[in-house]
Amino acid sequence: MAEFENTVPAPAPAASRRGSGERGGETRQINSPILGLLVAAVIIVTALAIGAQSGWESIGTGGINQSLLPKVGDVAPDFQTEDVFGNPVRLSQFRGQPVWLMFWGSWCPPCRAEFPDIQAAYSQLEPQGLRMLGVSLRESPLDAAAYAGANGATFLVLSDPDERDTGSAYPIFNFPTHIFIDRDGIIRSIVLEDMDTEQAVAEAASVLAASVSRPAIEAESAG
Amino acid sequence: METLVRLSFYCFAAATIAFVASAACYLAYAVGRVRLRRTALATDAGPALVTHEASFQPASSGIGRFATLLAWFGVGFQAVSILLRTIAAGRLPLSNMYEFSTTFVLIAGVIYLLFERWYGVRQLGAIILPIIVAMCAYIWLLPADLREVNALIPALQNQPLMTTHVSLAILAYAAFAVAFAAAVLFLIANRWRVAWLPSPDLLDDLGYRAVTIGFPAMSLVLILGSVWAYRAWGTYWQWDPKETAALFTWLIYGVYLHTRSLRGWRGSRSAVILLVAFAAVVFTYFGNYVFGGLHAYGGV
Amino acid sequence: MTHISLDQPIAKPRALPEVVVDRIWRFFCSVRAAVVEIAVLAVLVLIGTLRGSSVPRSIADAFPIMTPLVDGWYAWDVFRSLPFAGILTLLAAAIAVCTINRAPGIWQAIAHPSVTTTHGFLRNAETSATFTSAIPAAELAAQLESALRSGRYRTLTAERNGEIHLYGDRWRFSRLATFPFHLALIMILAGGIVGAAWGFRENQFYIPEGSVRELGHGTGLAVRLDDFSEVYREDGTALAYRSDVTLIKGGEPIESGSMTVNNPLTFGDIVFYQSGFGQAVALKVADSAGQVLFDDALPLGPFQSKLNPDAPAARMDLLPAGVAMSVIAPDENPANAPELDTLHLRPGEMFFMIRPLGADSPIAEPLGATVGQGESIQLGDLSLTFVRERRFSVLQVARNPGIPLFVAASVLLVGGLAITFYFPHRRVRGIVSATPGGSVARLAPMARRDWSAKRVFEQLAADAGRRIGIEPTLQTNEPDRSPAASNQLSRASR
Repeated sequence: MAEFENTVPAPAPAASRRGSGERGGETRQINSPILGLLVAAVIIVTALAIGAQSGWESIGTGGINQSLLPKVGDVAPDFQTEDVFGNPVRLSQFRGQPVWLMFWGSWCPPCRAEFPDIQAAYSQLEPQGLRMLGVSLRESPLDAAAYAGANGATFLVLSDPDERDTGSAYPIFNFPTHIFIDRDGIIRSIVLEDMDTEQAVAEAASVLAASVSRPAIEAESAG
Repeated sequence: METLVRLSFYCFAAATIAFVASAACYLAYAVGRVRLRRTALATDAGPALVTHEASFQPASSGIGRFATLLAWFGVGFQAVSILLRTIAAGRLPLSNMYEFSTTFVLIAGVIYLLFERWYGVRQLGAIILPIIVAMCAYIWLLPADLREVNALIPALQNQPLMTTHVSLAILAYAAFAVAFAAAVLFLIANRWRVAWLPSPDLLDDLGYRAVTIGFPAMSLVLILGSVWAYRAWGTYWQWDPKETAALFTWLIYGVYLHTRSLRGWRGSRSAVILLVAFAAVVFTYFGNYVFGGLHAYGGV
Repeated sequence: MTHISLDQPIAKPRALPEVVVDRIWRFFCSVRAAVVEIAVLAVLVLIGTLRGSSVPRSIADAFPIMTPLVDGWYAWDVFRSLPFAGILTLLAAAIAVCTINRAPGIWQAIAHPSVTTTHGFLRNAETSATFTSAIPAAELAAQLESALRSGRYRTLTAERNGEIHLYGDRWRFSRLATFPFHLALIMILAGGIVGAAWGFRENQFYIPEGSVRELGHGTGLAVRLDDFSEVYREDGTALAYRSDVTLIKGGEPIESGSMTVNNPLTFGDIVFYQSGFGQAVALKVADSAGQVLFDDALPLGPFQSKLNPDAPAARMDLLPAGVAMSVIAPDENPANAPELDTLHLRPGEMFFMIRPLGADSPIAEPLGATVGQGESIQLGDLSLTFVRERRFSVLQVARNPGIPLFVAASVLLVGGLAITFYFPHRRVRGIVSATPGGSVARLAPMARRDWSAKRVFEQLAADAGRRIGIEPTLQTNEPDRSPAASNQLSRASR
């Protein structure tokens, strides 16, 4: 008759682990700042390694950091699209004139609610040299033309149903969007709400006035 | 700003790693050392009977200290993560389940570590750190676009109230999580009398202290929520599900506080109420998934 | 100040009504009853909370047999039900009775605590500290008293049987803090009643842009919506919803202002909130004599038309003309398959319809026609003009005289809790006796199974010992707890 005993240490007694590194359980080692730094470094390196594997490089570019519309003060990016009859129209062909660029759709209730006010404002501003382009999105040129025609629009109605022509430079997420561009093609104001006549005239004033101060700035930069 | 958001996320990843490691160490510390003893009774005809006997012994304090160190690292990384995101967003990250949970992880860690200091016991970490790790896992499973800083909807555009109302909710939930952990450990210690666990009285007291932080915070959450509702929605109390869920939680902790003065309830029965109450906290926390109503925003 | 006699009243037989009253009184006073009441309230709140969630629906989906119960669940408006009001009333009564019942006793404990104790109490205390000294008992007691006082404890002494009994306590007024907390709960309920009884609230106050609406509720106010704006960010998320309004009293504009979702407009004690918005139609109705019967805007949306339930629509009774008029706008939601609509309305068109209203209506059957923006149409005797499309805003308007009560209640509630929890009443008892070699003092806290209080006491004893130069001997008891029997949990397996 024999009796034997084997002990499975899980984990092993402290004595056998003495000096075997960070699991050693000795106060002196745990408190050492070198160990602390080492642990921190291991954690950071692991995080970086996982991040490199998981493609975290793009984090931070979305949400409020997304770059969508051009900014006020930028040169308005050019685009070419068609009017409702299919004739090509370029934004840059209006360079030299203040431009009111509106993105809208007849399917959009706020656009329709402001439509009479917008048209009234344009009737006031047109004689002062302002050109207005109303780019209809997400609907057929026919629908845009029918609504604009029935409601007495005198501005140039453009149509880009699939946002193929304007979408990359002007990704529009809310309707209506109003962009005011001065004679030199610089964006002076972007309005992301529906406007009444008074507000539209006030916003347009910035592009009508901008041309006056323009030579002075150029002279300054030349000098 | 973009870099800050990214860096903040890396810090959160680092915090997660630290918390996972810390949770493992705390568990090892609380369970103690397990010795498996295999005894074979051998006869002439070969081994006839083999018995395995597991014996538990207290773990070395080293692993406990290491667990605490890792938890502090986790809290540190998470604090940096929250700080960077706060700078990037121009506000504290509190506006949706992702941001709320990242802040919860930080506050729960801090509250736990403070309690660990005050009471000088580490075994609680074996329950609270796994909860923190579970929250980290939940954050990782949320849709990736929530990692971006998003703009606030009009209803949330009230910085002073959002900061106070939501961060107090986090404080309350974190304190309640500590109370829950104390209750669980109390029931274990009370039932099995494991010698190296803290005394049941200490755990009972610790749970109560945690509730004395959580309950006033929860009261303030309800009050500030009413104030905010009054400003944003025009009525201080709407019987909105999230509101009433918070009220439910508050009432259960009210029951807990009253039972403590009842003879024969302090201890085990109070601890059981703490478990129920924490279930209410979890329900309130994740209720957005099943509630309609006015709190149903923020990308959940 | 009420004093309670410590002598037991002589028991005498009591009449039945007295017994019943006493029973009820005791029921309200009992913490056990309070626990049950709060628990019942909590259960009702939970039922009401789940009613606002998809949980009952999931239960019904998983167990179809539960469907009738779940339907009943969704149908029961718990928070406006009688049981809910009942339990709130019961709790309020319990709080009031409890307060009246407990106040004298608590005041007694604060103002006139019993100073004397027993050696048994000290011996059995879970923790106690013994100070042994060569100085006379009176001197030791005085030193301990001053040590306790320097720890901001109030001390009281009494002499009995040649021994000095010592009582010390700190933050005694904290015991009163439970009253403001519970009073606050009653005040919140009272505030709700005051608000409902003497205030008013208009949940859906529709005004189209350019229109004026009477507020009513005896305010004499009318509101004109000058402009409504939805402001968005470039990613299409909403930045703000803003209504610019003018308040009109007696035909005169008296105040203009704006409100957004988190910034209501306050006028006196009336508060205006931005609540919703939508599409409106401005129209003009004139009779055959050219007299204008209606020249205003109607919100589209609150009303559903039978002709096309999906489309935004409005309805209005034109009593002088004996007709009811409805307006249907084109349906633009692609999800509703608008191409299938029978009206075939295009953007910029509205469908106008009049129906007979009353016995002497000039028309016998409904008449309808599609009208473009800016156009007029003749329906029966009436000339209807679709002037233009507009926006409408939905405001909430409220006057709540209960608000000051809530504010006061909130302060009491939080203040009461903070004092109760963070400044707990700490009490120490002790006896100083003379010994052949001098004197001995034994102190113990009133802290049954209160770990924190015991630690506080041990700290206090150590501090006192340092101050008077005597190292105290700490003694601890674990009376209701046997020491952990075994460290080993054994399990045998094959």
